[in-house]
Amino acid sequence: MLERGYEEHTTPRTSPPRLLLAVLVMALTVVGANWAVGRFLDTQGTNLGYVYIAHKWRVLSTLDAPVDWLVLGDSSGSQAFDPQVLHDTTGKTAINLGTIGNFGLSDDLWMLEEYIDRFGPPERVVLIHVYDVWHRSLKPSLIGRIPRPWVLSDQTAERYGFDQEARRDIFLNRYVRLFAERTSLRKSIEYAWLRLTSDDEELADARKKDRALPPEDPELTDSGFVRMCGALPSALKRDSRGHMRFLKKRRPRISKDNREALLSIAKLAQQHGFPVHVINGPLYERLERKPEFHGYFDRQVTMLRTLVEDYPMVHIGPNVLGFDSAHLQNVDHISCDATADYTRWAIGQVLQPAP
Amino acid sequence: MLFNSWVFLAFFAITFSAYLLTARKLVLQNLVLFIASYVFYGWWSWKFLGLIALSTAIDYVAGIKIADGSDDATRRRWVTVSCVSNLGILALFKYFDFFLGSLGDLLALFGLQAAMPSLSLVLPVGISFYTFQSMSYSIDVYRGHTQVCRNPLNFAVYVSFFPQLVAGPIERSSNFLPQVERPRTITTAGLESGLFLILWGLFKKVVVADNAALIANAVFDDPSTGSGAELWLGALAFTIQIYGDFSGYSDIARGLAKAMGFELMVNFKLPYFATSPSDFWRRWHVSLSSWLRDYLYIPLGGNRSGKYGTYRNLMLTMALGGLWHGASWNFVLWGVYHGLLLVVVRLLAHVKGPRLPAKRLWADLVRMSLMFPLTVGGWILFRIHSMADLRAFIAGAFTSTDAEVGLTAVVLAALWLPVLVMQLAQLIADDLLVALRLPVLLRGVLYGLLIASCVAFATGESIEFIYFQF
Repeated sequence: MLERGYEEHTTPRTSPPRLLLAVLVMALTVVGANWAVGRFLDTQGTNLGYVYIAHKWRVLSTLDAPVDWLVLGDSSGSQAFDPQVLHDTTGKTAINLGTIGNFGLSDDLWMLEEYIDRFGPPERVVLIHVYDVWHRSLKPSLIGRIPRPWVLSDQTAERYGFDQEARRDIFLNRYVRLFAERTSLRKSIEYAWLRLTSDDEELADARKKDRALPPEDPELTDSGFVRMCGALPSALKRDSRGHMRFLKKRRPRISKDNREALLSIAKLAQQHGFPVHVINGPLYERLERKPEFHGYFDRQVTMLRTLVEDYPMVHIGPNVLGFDSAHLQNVDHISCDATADYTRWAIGQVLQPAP
Repeated sequence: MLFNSWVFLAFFAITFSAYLLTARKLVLQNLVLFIASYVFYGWWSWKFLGLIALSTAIDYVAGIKIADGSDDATRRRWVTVSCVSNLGILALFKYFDFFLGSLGDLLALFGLQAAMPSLSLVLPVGISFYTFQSMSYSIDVYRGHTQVCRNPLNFAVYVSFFPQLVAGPIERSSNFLPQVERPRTITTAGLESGLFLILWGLFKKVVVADNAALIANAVFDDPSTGSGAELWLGALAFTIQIYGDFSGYSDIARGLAKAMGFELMVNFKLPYFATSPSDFWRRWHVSLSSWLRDYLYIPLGGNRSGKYGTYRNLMLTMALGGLWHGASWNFVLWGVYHGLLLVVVRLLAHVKGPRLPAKRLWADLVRMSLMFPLTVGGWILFRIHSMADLRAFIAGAFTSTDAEVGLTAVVLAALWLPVLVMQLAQLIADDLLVALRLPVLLRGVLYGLLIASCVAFATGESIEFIYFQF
């Protein structure tokens, strides 16, 4: 029965218009698949950084009334500063638009610009960053993740000196996610399968083994705050070793991108008359106590203060709040049981700025 | 220049445009094909263009001399010139170091140390394919199976036609030369069939084969570290990889040719549904297996040499067929293994006892499920690097069973599932182009999904087609 000729018998019933139609449908299917993959990655993706970026820009888009405090920064602050605690403590409103460290301060600037365009200046701006963000330069591919049309404008390219390759990266990340995020897509499908077929214990085990999987599913709140619960001692240990290597090897440096972004934020603050508070993200207390850390950090604070010395509305916080391993997921990301402590501490740093 | 690269896309767009523009003038159109084919080959290494030109020139002249030869001795002399030249080129570039190295190893076994010379030549891409294709033309002219080609341009296009130049199908002059010599008609049916074959071939290569390769490589790079389950999964992964890779290449080649109005031979006919070793070779790399049958097995005497003569011919043909794949003993072993399978099945045919009924689906399914593991076993021999690796594989595969392969198995199954679905449809319909029976809108969706999958599940850097090295 199975031993047949197996040749090609069908001649497709086609004509130029039919072939054209098939090609058109083919193109639409590719576009549709690209769109669907984008939606999937924004909500179910394992690359939490990209999920945060999508979520925070969505929060900004859907914001329908101004807030008192605009909280910006990286993922350490995104996971540490809870606007609800601010409201409960001071009666003030806030949104937390902190995204990821690899944006440096550029993302803070863009969000602030958009916020001012729509609502005017906020009462205060709080920038929460971990110490090792300041030396990082902006990656063009990340800009592509921002759901705004200006990312591909000539003006943006000129502002940041993007060459053709950088602009191509931005284009691919913005419009061809099927291609640009294929590693994330593969991992995310694998993760979706694991979640479908594994019990809690198996899933936890897989997460422990595979660092590309998120340690847990984050709760993305409407205020922008990202709730992640549960300490991760093994990730903390690994991360801590990496930070120590970094501190021993590197001298403090403020990257050109971060310098320019901070100065632009400072100019906006002067122009509109609102204070900007640069606050440090939470940190592992054992790292915070190391002399290597203080040698690095104190010099960095001095450099930042020198940079903004002509802008009295900008306050550079010199303090760091340390947490023990029971409250940390890695060196600078706290578990949800510690967010109230951090938020109250941050409020204190803002309302009683150091001289 | 790989089919799955942007460079090739640009190359084909330019070539196809020029091809369409010269549609009214056959000579010009063939000139376009000739130039494009040499650019395609020269893109890899222009230095080896001389070699393909040499092979072309030898067989072009040999063909004319054979056709014009007044006596059989002259004709025989020229066919010998063709065979010796082509096999000589192949031997020099592909097998010289291997044979001398093996001779050195053999002498060392007897305690004789001899410093064997080594040429360390780069293996020209596709040399095994175009020498066989070129040489078969001279033999066919000699046998009177094909008309002599007196137009050097047409003959050069026959040898170097870029879609099938480096990895086949190995075309026969009786099928392909007349297509080169006559004007081609480009039809929308040909264009759409070509489009489907190109996209389906790309899917099999980029999505199925390249991803299965990640699993197979992890196992075969060091079989001594794998557990039993991992090793078997690796073997299955390679089984999927080599099919996806090679049949994918063939489909793309055939699709490109179809779009230009050519018909190349079908090279793969659902080989993993084979019900016996001989059925497997009617389905796997058909252009090579039929070449070996027509130009080696039958001239050796085929199955007209008595029982033992037939076994000898089978073993010899399969061993040489194995060696054709590469200058390495594992390929010879793989050929011998398949030769043995063919012999054993013939031997079993003489044994009296109960037999599975013919023309019954369930019986074929039983035969198929017996043949498939044997095929996988063959691929293990094909893929291993050394005898030490083979020993490690066998030791691991039959001793250790403890391993976590859950997710890898799921990935492999997910890779194979779309191919299996398509193949079941092809099998039931007895039509390899069954997908083209879908309504036009669904065909469009299918093409779109194939492209989207290739974009999304590409493994990163282009991984070269396996069969380029043969």
